Amino acid sequence: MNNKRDFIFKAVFFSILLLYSILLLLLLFWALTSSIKTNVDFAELGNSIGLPKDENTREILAPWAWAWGNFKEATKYLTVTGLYRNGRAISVPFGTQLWYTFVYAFGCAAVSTLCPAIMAYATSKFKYGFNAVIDVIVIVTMILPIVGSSVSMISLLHQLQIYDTFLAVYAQKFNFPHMYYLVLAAIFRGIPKDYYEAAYIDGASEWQVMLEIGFPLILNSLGLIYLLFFISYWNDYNTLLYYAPSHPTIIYGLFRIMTDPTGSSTRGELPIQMAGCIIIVVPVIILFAIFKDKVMGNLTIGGVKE
Amino acid sequence: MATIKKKGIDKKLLFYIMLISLPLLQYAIFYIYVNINSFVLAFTSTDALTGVTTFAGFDNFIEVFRRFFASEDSYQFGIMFKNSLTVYGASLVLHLAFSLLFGFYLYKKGLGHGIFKFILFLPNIIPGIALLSIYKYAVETAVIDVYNMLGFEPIYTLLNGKDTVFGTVLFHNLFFGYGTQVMMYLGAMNKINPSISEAAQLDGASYLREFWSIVLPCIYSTVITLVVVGLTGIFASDMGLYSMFAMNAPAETRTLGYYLQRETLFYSTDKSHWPRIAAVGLCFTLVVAPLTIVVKRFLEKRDPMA
Repeated sequence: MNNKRDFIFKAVFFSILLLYSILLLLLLFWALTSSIKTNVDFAELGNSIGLPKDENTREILAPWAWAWGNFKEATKYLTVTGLYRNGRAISVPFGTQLWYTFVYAFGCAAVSTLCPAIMAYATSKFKYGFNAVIDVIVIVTMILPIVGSSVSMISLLHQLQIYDTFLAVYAQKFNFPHMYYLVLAAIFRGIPKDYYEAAYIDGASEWQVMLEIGFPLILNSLGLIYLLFFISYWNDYNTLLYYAPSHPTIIYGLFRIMTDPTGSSTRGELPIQMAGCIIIVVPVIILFAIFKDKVMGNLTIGGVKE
Repeated sequence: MATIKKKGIDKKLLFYIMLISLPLLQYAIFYIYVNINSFVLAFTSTDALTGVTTFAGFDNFIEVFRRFFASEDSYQFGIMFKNSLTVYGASLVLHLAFSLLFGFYLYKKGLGHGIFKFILFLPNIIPGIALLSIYKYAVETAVIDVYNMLGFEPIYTLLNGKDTVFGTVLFHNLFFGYGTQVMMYLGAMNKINPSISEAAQLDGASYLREFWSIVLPCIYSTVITLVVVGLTGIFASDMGLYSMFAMNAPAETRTLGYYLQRETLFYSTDKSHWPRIAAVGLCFTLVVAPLTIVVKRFLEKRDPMA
């Protein structure tokens, strides 16, 4: 009886998950096939589903005849115009956006990983009463929802004269009150004291103990947290939209193009837009495919487990 | 000897202070100051021409309440409030139920669990703006073409139709939002002592009985955390509207989170509006913060494992 019930349970959820997977993959497949069609084929001749077709004969084209040029065109199309820096109108080409993406994602991931790591090391290695205050700060900040402080942040950044710079976003991301502080503190606490003691006996300074013993021992976890932050910042455009609007990353560039009220009709064609999406999606999918077991296998409540 | 020990302690304390001071300084400036400034801002008024800021008492709050409850726009705010609750309610029910059950299916290693795990997590990896753009154009072209091919009464748009736009946007939110939650629940389920499940199976418990009586109580704290985290976004979630429509989201789809985001970005260089926006944020916080704490305590009291 139970076997039958269990079979039904598994069959029902297998079907739901299969349907979900098909729909999701179809959507991505649609984007891929749309990105290699000509605009005439897609828009004027109405080939919104299926593989690229010849504009005259309406026969399915061979792969070498697909509109691969859309990808090159997309890099030109993704140029962002209409931005202002220091009162001057600027346009930011794709290459510069790519550079900004690396500056933003690599830099922010680094400071976002480093700050909780430093704090976690300090509170787990040294037993001072102030550690309890730090723990309370983390918990309260995580739980207490504060809505609508963005204008205040913009105001502060103007006062500090760093609004619309990468320094403004680095400074914000160098924060510790989040789940990774708790995760890293737990990992640091698990390191046997003998490792540190042996280094002290050999005459190591506190800096050496931290940088040559503490951090290398948890390098795997730090690497994973860095990777998760990197993917998250690669995908983020909101922060720059608010605090460094004239420094578009490729995601921000895509957002600007997609939401440009004059965009789809005058500046872009849908196949080229989809090619732009594919260009942006592919690197993170490759990264995810390489590290998928680490990323998914280590996710617990907002963090990682060793 | 005592001097050496004292010296050692001082060195450690000095090092500890060096480590924690920069993160704490960052926290003081970018969290405490920003939120206090946001609070103060809500009680001030800035002249649009002179830029002079004066104390305004509760004028901004009166203005916010007038706009929300006693102006021509009140009806619009009613829609935003209803939409915010609908999004939260639908997400809570569907995401909670399906994420738990999907997680349980993966935990029981149902057929295809590896590939389903990958696919469920995929939307979390793909940049949201790219996924949203693909969805936006797919529903406006391919989905409509397929629907019309099936012989139903023809439709020409989903995102520009008054009756269909909210449902289309809501579907996007519900469809792509499972990955992280499923992985969190799966992570929590994997921590359950396998002998408990084995004992239940020996006693003849079905999968559903095991899920209800063993798994759910064991991962209750994870469930509470995710429900509470979801609650904090009740007035902050813009449902992806800004990414989809920028400043021009259709009136019938707008949420309070979108309203706040739009106002902040629209007036990001106009200081005279910042106090009112800060007052809106403070009002939202005054509702959400106590609500979050009450719900958290309420759920914690019902912890079956407590």
